[in-house]
Amino acid sequence: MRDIARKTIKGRKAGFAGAFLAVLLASVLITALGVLVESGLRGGLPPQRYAGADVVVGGVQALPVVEDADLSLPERVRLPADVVDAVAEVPGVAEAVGDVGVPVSVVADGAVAELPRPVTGHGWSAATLTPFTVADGGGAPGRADEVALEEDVASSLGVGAGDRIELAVGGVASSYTVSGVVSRPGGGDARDSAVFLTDERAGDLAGADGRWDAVGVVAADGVAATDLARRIADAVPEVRTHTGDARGHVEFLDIGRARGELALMALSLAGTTVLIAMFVVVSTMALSIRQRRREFALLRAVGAKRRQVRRLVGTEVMMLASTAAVLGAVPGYLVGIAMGRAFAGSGLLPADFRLAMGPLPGLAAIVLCLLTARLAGWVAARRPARLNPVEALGESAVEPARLGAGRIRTGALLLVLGFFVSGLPLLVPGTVGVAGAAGGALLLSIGVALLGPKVLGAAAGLLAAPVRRLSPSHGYLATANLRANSRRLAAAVTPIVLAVAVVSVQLFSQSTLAAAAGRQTVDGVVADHVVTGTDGGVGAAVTDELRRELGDDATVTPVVHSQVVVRYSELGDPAQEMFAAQGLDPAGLGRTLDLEVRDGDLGDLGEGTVALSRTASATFGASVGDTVEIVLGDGTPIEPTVVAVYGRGLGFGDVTLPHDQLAAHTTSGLDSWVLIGGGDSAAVARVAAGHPGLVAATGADLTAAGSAERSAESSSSLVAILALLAYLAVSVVNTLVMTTAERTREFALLRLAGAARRHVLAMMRVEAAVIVVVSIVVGLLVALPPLVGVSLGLTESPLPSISPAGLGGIVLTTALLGFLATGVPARAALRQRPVDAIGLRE
Amino acid sequence: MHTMTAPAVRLDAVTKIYGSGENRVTALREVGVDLATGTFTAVMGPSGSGKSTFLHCAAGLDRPTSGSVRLGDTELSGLSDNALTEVRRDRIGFVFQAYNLLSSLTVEDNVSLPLRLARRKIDARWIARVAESVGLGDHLDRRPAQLSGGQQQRVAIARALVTQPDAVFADEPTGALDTRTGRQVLELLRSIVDDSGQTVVMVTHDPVAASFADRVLFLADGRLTGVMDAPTAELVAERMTKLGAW
Repeated sequence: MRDIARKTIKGRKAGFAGAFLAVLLASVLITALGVLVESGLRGGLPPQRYAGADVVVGGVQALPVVEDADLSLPERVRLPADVVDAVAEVPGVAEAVGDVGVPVSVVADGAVAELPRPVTGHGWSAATLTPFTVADGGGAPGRADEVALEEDVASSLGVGAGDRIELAVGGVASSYTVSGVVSRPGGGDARDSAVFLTDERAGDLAGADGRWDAVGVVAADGVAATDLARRIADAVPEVRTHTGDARGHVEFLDIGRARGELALMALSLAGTTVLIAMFVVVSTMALSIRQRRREFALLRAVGAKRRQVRRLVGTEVMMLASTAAVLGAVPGYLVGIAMGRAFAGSGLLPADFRLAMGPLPGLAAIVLCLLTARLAGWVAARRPARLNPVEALGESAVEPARLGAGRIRTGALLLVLGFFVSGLPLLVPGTVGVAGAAGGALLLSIGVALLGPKVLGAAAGLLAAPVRRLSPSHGYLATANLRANSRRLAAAVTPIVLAVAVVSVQLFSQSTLAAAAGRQTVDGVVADHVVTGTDGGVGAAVTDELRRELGDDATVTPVVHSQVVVRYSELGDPAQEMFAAQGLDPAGLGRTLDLEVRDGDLGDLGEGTVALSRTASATFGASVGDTVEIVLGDGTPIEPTVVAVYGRGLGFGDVTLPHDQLAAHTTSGLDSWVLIGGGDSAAVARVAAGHPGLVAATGADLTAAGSAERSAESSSSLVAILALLAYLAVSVVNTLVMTTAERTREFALLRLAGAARRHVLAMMRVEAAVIVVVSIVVGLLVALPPLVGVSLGLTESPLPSISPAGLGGIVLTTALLGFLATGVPARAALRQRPVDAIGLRE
Repeated sequence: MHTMTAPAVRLDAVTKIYGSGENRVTALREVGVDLATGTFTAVMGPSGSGKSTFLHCAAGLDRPTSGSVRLGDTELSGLSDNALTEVRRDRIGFVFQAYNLLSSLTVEDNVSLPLRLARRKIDARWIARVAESVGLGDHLDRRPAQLSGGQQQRVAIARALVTQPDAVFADEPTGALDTRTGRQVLELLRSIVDDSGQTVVMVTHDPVAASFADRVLFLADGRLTGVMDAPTAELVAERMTKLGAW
């Protein structure tokens, strides 16, 4: 059998090219996504400032999740003050140094100086962890108003030891004397520039309250870093130790978060890709097998058992797939790198994020592709194995008209299920319903694919009359072809429907979400003025000053943003998910922020309470008076009571906590906005101008800033969608080329019967037009129920917001693909002399 | 030319009904006939007379609705699909009108196909001898597309003979060939009966083709309506004209 399979593949290269390509590209895409998943787990940046530490001790920066990747916490989990001593006592530790970091702006002439790299302030003792060496002056800052600058900062500013400079945190500036200039070994391409204050001053600025971001450990001579790390982990509770490149995970908190998001996104995309790959491989295999009906019938007649036919098809598929999968894995790494770059470009990843390159993604892709192919082969072989040799030999080239009853039942069931799932947001509120509705597109598409010939026969019937009126002669042939060969038509249309539906749902759920969030922000911000910080945020001192300056006739509402993890029960199973959170003071909120309260009273928001968005309340099943389990960004668990439920969660965050409580558990403790209701705009402007890096604006400007942020988010998911779309496009072209190329004889017959080349091409154009129109219409119809469901779940309105550019893009791309993929092979088929072509055996 | 040994194939009251309800078609009605070992039988009849169904039932490609089909001493009508497939593979040879060969396999591989499917050891000398006997000794490495229509039918005949079957069934084997090539193929079928005692059953609508057989069975409307021994083309044509008039 292997032998026959091998020879069949060699003899029928063209027939197998489609399936080969489908597996190859699946392998490329899965490898690429695998690289991203692996990078999400292992990638990042090697340590820079901690390069001189053998072991870096950090807090437990993740929440363990049962049976899944840990949830990475968004805010720095700080270590208690006494950890430094505890670590120092572990045998083998030569030196243990606590480090705390705070982003600072360097102020020159009253404005924030433009420096090539962001600047972070640290305590002087942490300088040994790199280790920094003194290049000029005395080095160590001795007093709270002294600072040691890294060389590049000093040279950019043109200052040296003894000069005075200003540093600001959250717009609050102080003046320092430069105690010295320091440099790091190798210098060069570090991410941040460092400035060193006294340890106490650094801790105060960071709001660390005596705690540490991390403890760097220098090992005693002859002690291995990994052994030491294990000993420290055993001796000191509630810490994590890191050695080697993993030290960078502690140094760069943003990379830890990016890794989590990257892994999650790549994993979910990989899941969809495997599903779609399976579908595409099955349908291309089925197509190539349908073209070989006679061959299988002959095999059955001369004595091949059903099992042998199944094995032959299985062997063919596996041979094909193993080669394709291996060949695809190699370029997959390059595509992975390209996708990583695209993610960096869209802001999902830090630009200097280093991808992890191991053999695992390639191997996983090969295994997954082989499993997919095995399954596809099994499905594709069912038909030829069931062939009754007599029926198949006797049958002319016309296809059997009827679909199997099982197929119709399954298709109908999937459609019903798809509609039901699309309507889930009506029954199950919250994220479960929305996610379910989005999944409805896949169910509906596959249902339509199964019922394809029936649905399309009906659609082609509807189009027949208008097409004939438009194009009497070619239209007649084209509609006749479409109706007679509805299965071939279905094979061509199905992948387009799938592509149009999946892409529409992805794209338009995004635009619906973005539009709703934008609308909510516009409607929600009722403040007259907004102060924002261009460099990290707004310090609490600024809020106090605004309150002092504006007096009692204005409301000043500082808003701090973070993310929190909420633990709840989802359909009976425990779940924990990250939600956007804001912290604010309810006093006078009516003049600054309207969250559109539905239930309870935001005025009750105080210690031990929380307000939830409508979606969040529904997701957690928590109404006013219930308690919810929340883990704050730095890992602190709380159990507040719900006091209010509000409508504008998309624009402002699903969880609202008391301001001071949330701020205390963020890394920086800074506010992102200060909303001001009433008050004199000149006074607001004056205060803002007095603080370098702060900007006073109106509510409308804030909305614009928010939408820019969201568009960064949606553009990174767009990168993912594009990768998927490219794959689907290839499968579309694949099927169209295959179905057109098999008609060489038919074209020859038409030409011998007196049709000129241009007649045949015109007929094909009409057919392609019908295919394109039917696919787009059916695809959009399939996308509609899930979109309505998503929109209902997200915005309570059944009208999804559909971006005209997105819709136009989908229609144009589909039309272009459809016409090219039928036109080019038809031209190729017509290049042969009809007399020769008619003699070709099938 | 009649031998009185046990029949190679025996059909007894074979009825075949396709479809059900309004689409019900009775293709064979109570057909009973013995096909003697070592004879060449032609089956004739107008279109729709059931001659192809006759062949399919007799050759184990299809199961009769009722009645019995015996190949040697094996009752075919009760066999499972697998067992029937094995019978076709090991004890029956087929030649169809067209699409007889796997286009991606060489002549040698096509001829040895039934042996491969049976997982039997392939003796290259035996394959060469079978190919030689149908006049294809020089073309073992060619692919079907490189052969003429007549040569392709010879490959099909070689494949049918390679397992030394109990009977060879041919469905319009000359239907797609020109007169001269068709004649050569018929002579080949005749010679395998005469030289090696094969049993051959051939469906045809061509009186000239039928005249190569030892005996002609006439079918009309699913019934066996007549038998002619030692046929000539003229006699067969005359009988067919009558059948057509019925």
